[in-house]
Amino acid sequence: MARAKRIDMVHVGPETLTGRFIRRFWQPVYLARDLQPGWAKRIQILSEHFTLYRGEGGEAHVVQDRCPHRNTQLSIGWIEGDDLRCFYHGWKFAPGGACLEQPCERESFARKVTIRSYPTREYLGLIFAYLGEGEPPPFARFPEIEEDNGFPLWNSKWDLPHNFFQRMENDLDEAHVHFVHKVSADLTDELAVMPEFDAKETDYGILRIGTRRRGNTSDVRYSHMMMPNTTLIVVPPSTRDDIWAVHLAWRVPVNDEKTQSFVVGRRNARQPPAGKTFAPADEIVKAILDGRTRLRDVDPDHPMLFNIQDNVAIGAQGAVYDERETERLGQSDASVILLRKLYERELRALEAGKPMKTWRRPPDKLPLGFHAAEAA
Amino acid sequence: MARLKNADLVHTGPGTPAGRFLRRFWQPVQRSDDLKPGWAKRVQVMGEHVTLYRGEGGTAHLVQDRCPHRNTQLAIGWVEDDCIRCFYHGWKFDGTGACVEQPCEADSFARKVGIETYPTHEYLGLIFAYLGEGAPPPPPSFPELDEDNGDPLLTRVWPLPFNYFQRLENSLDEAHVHFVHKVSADLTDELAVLPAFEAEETEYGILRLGTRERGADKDLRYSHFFMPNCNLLVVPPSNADDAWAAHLTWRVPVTDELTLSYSVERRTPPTPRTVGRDGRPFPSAESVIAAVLDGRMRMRDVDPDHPGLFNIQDTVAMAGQGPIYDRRNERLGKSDIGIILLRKIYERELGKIADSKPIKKWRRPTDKVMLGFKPLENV
Repeated sequence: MARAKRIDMVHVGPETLTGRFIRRFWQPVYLARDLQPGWAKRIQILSEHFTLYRGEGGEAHVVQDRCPHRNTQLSIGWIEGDDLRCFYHGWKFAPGGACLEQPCERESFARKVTIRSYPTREYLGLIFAYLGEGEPPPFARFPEIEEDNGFPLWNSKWDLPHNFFQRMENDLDEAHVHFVHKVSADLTDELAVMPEFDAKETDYGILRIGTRRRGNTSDVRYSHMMMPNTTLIVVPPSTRDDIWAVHLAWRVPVNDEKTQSFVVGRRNARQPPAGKTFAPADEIVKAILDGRTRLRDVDPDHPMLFNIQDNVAIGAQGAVYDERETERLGQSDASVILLRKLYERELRALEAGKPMKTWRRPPDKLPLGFHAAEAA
Repeated sequence: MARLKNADLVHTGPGTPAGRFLRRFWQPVQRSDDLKPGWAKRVQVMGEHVTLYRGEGGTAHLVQDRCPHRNTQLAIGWVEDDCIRCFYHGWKFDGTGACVEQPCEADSFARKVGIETYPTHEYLGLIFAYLGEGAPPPPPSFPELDEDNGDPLLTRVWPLPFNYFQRLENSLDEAHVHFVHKVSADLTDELAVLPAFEAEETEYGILRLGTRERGADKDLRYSHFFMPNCNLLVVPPSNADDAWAAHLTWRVPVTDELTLSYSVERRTPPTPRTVGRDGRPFPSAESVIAAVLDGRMRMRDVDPDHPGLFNIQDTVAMAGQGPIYDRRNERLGKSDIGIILLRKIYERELGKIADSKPIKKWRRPTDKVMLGFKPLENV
């Protein structure tokens, strides 16, 4: 079969295939608690700027970046009720995008002017938006997180200084846990042996199964990747008093070189040991990548230890890793290979104008974490 | 007439149509007080570096950036009387650009070496220079500011982190005052109603009229734009202790993404407050602007007593358009008439520059122009 040219999975601007693909799914764009009523923020998602604001009544809205009149940022404007008024000349827009007022125009042409607005909703403490073409898909819920397991709902957002696809490949890579996160893996019985890997395409994305044999028994660890950029796993304790915890993460491209992780889980917030102070994670990552310190020298009590470990491994591939054809992949990379295959298939369908797969997750909880394997 | 479609209004480096046009006019390059006798400074104007120095006798000179010998900056050199001596190997140049000494050359070839010089002129506390082709036009004259009204001459300069043309358009945009400067507009009776706008081309540039009706009374606000980048208007008080004042200002490109505003007023400025309403020292205008553009602060939260309030308001609105504003996606209305006229005039004049035709001879009346609010008689 004549092979078409390599498909681009890393660039995410509005015209790119990957950018158009990811825009077909709801994406988290902000932590709900970071947006107060009556505030607007300029945000960047998928190499595009938008205006995010919360009306005085509490509802969040996403509209285009600039005022259509003379193109200043709408985020510097005034929020009035649920509407947004431009700071420059007072044009006022409804959340649906209609222009309501043009105060200085004697003959208003407001009904000819609209701004783009995007569906939004809030869930699990995150503000989601649909930035794509056409109608948004059904909004997927996560009963695995909704269920109260006795631990509080916890969420966070952090910046990753590299391309989103590297971060997703890392999510699908079970082997790295034993090396990159060795300090933590050593704390757990579950990760005492190296697993065998299996990855399957499902209705929602990829099911990963890691099988670990211990003498006569073996157990399997179930992990999930929901297309196009969501991962649902249990993560090991990072310190001795921590627990295995359910962990739902979206890797949202800010631009080609920057990614935001939005993470939701259930567990007690980590308390850094009393009396200790830690250098910011970003500085440590940079110091390691510059060769000024080593990962082994990082304090294992650092509250961002996992993040530091991953960002060193992924950051060291380069900010925009795009040399995948030079790799030497093995059988332990099965799920990374599957992810690329799925992306390639879907992006080629999008390029050809053919229908793409309709991804959907089951309404019930998925098996997650460690389970005893049935005796063969 | 060959017309430039979508004339390039924003790039002003040497050789660009807008750069050549702006260079046909006297441009302020420094506050007089900021250049002491015996000092030299490297300044950047319209993307080009030049050496500005003041001779020990007090005369300001503008010459080329680098020494013709081995191209180090002349601004690091020694000012000797009215000459500048290069720091590197001591070549010395007089105010006319002639090389008068080459100390290390046994056979001096000084008479074969000259540096570029530019005419300068000091007026209203500013050093002006003519950086263009041919003979300069008459130097600037503003009788509106010449007259001593008992108040001191106040000459200021401040940077704007965006393209000069955005700043010019804002100067011709009377509507923005009611929104961007709402806090101040609310303090005045004159700006209590939104105006109707008119703009017409004149011998010197653009006359703008804002008509405001208040019941049976009507008044007109006269504002002037002098080609190519100078604005004369009355500005509202920025806080309750302040007053309306005549305000003359030039917007001079430093680079395509950085502009300097030079302004001249004759007034006693209100005693600047040093602490805000929260009892703490005011943060710098730059830090407030950055916080608003980043979404960490809202304009409504900016202390109305901040001494840089006007600049913060304008800079936020214009920096929000981007460092070099892309004009392709606008929806202009009738209230933008001043901006539309400015672009038409620029496009016409830049077309002449590109076609090597003479540009319009811009000149202002020798008498004062009508300025500020005047009641309009009912006809």
